[in-house]
Amino acid sequence: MASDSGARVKLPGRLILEVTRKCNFHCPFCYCVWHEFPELARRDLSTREWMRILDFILANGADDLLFTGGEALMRRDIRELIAYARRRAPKSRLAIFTNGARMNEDFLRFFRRHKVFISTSLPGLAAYPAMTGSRRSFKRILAMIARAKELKWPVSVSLTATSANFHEFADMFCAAALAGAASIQAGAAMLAGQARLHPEITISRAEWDELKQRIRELPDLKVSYNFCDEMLCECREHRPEDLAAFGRPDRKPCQAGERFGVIGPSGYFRNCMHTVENRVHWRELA
Amino acid sequence: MKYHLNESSQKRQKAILDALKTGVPLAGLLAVTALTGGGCGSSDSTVGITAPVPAESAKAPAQQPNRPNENQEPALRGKPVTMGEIPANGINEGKPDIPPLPGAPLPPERQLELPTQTAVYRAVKGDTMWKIAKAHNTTLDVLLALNRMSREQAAKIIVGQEIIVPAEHGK
Repeated sequence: MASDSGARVKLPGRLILEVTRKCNFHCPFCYCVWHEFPELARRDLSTREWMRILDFILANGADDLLFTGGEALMRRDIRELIAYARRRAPKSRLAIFTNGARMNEDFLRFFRRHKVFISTSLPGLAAYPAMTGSRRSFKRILAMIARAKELKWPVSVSLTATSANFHEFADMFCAAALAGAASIQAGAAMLAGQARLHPEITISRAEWDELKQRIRELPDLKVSYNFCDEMLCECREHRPEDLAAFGRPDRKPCQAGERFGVIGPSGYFRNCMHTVENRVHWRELA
Repeated sequence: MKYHLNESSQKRQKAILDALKTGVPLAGLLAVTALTGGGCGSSDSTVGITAPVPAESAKAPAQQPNRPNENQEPALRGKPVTMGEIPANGINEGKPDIPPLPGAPLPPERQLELPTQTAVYRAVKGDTMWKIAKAHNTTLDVLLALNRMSREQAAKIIVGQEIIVPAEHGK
């Protein structure tokens, strides 16, 4: 299978499925690159088309799928797609990333029943409205985490550090842990996707290091967590001043294309969420 | 709210929100290690959290600092997701039960041991309240209390701003 650059594309075992371009939030740190490359999200594929994609990728070795968007729960057929994936691949690892706005008891029970792990984000406490463009409150996210814990189904929480939530980042971490998160992933906003339009929300390497140290000094959380130190996607070009601001000596290579790949709302496969190099329509993969 | 939480979860939520409302750092709640309870394997049928816990109790010497799981996957950032951060069985097992916590909260000021001798430090470029606290061998919470400053205000200190610091370590 050849990409638009002529390179061969290998389908990785882990795939992120951006099943819709629709989203009810407007997060300035969102990785989505559709504003730069609109052809990736010109339209949402139909249920039938996504089922064909699922057929293809599951038949070609993919066994770790993450449903996202946009906001995956904005698709009315999301249950149908997930149930289909589970039927086709009873032993595969399925997960969904949601901003939590549309989550409810029924969805929680549905995901537990179909063994779909849940990831959500808590992008702020006081900063939550500013970080999501929503009037909703972070309380809803905490309630979702707590309810999932009651149902004995894990919720992983992602925290993105920005200049807007820098002052409360440790509290965000604590809130997620106290609410009952099964695991927490913390990282600084990358200069990618929407953040390229809002570079003022990004923080420096030194500030990120400070936040990590604050978290390390918290009391024992009894929750597993990890830090994500990538601050610049290695898959695309950056200005020298960006490289200087985000630091290069301790950079981590992007694992795009080897560890995971992405299929966007219009059906284009690409190696990395932050760029479009090596994109190819899924039909050409077949 | 679309979720019907049981009583213990409601109390836990209330404790979190009360702490945020009163300005008590949530680390104070975490200081009671059993409160976190961890993931899905734990039973919290005995939760009796009624109030925020003093932040400074977080400094009990027996507690160990957190250790990140270095083996976990790097981020798929922005919409910050990862496909590998959940334990293989999806469940964190072996977490302790959560004992009841009696007692009512004290006002945050009374829960901190504030230094009696203070000095004034003038902020310079690159300073943050956390850095200043570290430089003066104190905690961010103590420094905020000394300066009667919220975390939002702490995030907006400017060069030249006078910050009250413990005298014994004052610069």
